[in-house]
Amino acid sequence: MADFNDQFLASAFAEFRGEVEPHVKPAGTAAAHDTVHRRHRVRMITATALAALAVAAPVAAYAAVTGDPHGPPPAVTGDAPSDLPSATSSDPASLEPSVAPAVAGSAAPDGRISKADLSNATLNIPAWPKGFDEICPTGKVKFSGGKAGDRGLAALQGDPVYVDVDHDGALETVILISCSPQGSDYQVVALDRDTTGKIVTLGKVVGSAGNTGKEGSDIMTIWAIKAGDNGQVRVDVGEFRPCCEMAQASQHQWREYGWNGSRFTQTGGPAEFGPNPKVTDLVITADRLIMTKQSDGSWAGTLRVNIHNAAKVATPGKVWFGLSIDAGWQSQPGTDCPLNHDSPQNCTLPGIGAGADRSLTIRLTAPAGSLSTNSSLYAHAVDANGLVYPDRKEFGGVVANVQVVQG
Amino acid sequence: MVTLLDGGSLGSLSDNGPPRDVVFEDFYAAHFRPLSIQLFAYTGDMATAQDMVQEAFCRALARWKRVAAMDDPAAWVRRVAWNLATSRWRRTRVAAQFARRQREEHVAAPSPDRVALAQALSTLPAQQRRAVILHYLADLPIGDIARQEGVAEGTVKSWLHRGRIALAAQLTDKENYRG
Repeated sequence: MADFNDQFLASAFAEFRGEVEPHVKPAGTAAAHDTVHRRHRVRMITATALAALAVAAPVAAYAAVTGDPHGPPPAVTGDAPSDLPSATSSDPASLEPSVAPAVAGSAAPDGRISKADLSNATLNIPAWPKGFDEICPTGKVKFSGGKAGDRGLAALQGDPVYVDVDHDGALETVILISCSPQGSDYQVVALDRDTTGKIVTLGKVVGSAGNTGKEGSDIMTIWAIKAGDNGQVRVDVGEFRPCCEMAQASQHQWREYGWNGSRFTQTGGPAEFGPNPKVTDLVITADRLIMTKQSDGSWAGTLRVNIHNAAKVATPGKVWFGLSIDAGWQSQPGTDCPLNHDSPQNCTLPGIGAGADRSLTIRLTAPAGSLSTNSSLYAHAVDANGLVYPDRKEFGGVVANVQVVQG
Repeated sequence: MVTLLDGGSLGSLSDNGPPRDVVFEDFYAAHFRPLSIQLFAYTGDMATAQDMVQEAFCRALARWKRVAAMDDPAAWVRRVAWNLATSRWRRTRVAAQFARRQREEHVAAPSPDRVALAQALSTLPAQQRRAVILHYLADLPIGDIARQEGVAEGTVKSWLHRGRIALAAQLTDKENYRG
């Protein structure tokens, strides 16, 4: 049936082509040359007129101050602004610019919007990703000072870039917007002006996946945007969405997006994130902890722990080691890892090289009484501020239980 | 291999590299009609289709040296024409075109009876319609359609599959009805 459909349609389209072709009446290459020349002339006149306007303002000011309506020399030369085609020209083709940037008189509205204008505009913001979509402002959103929404959760990031995304000969505005309720979500939005000058949203170029996305593979962070070639938007994306004591482990990866007439799709750059050197692969193991009763009824023992870096790169920062035990337990002086009294008790060790191990011997004492029979161990790489880098196995390899036995 | 995407060919193009010395007039003559037919199939309006194709060629002419040096200038013009067909440019020009057509001699269009296919196409979702037209009228391979549309090849196959079934069903019904 598929083959039949294919042959049937191929024949139908061939017939269609033959029937329609005689009705095509090309305007001709002379008309194309004429259009291009006319547009070139419009651009030249417009540029001259804009230059004239730039000088006319000081002339007016000079006249107001001196009473001399001729203004200071030198006078502006060139075509008068009255040579410009009016907006109601009977031939719209003559007003259509052939190349960006757009010029005055373009049939397609100039979609360039300054950062200053955007910062205090009402923008139609596409939906935010699941997770904080009810908190982050969407739909018609009034920005003030570059921020919007409850407590200014949504904010314009960086400067807009200007790209002719829909190839209509006029530039559109592309801006990066963040919303940061707990961690940050991002979206890159293309904006334009309609024929009345009102700012309209063309569409979302790309957005982060939000806190229900999959870290390590989905786009979770958007760092920056740039104008690409031929109407493309370049977006610097990353694969982690740091929140709540987590370090920013995202890589920088430039991807390109283009408008296909109805939406933006990825047109260039990698589709996947490669190995990330900031994602650790730590494995923690420990022997049984044997606690021996002392003459005063307290307990003493030695915990031997090994932290193995199974990654092909060194840990991105120092290694934080934690031991979850009952209050009153203490590490003894001279141990490899003097524990503080936070919960869990912890210490920070130097980073571990690729494939290397760090073995710890921790002498512990516990107060008299009954002993816990179990304890948990943790290990994470941390940045300079103590924020935790993600691990390949999430919690699988960075937590271990140690059995406590009476010796 | 230079792929000429409109089903036509340019004698001056080499198969072993980018085209050299492509004359705009020859290029226009080879590609204007096939492109107009594609966009007529998409829009159902011959005057609009020709207007968009002419505009695409004007944009090519304005930067002809650069376009002519491309591996596939026809693909560039086709993409611009299709972008115009789906872009806001078309919508902003509708009113102006309407006014102009009141003054100009109306462009003769194929009668509806002879273009049952165009009617059937108009019932397809836009993406399926584009995929079917690019496949059957522009003779584009799946990969080139995917590149133009900015989607995966599997997506194009899916559009084509659905479009084929819907079109064939409609056209077969019509044949049966007539027969």
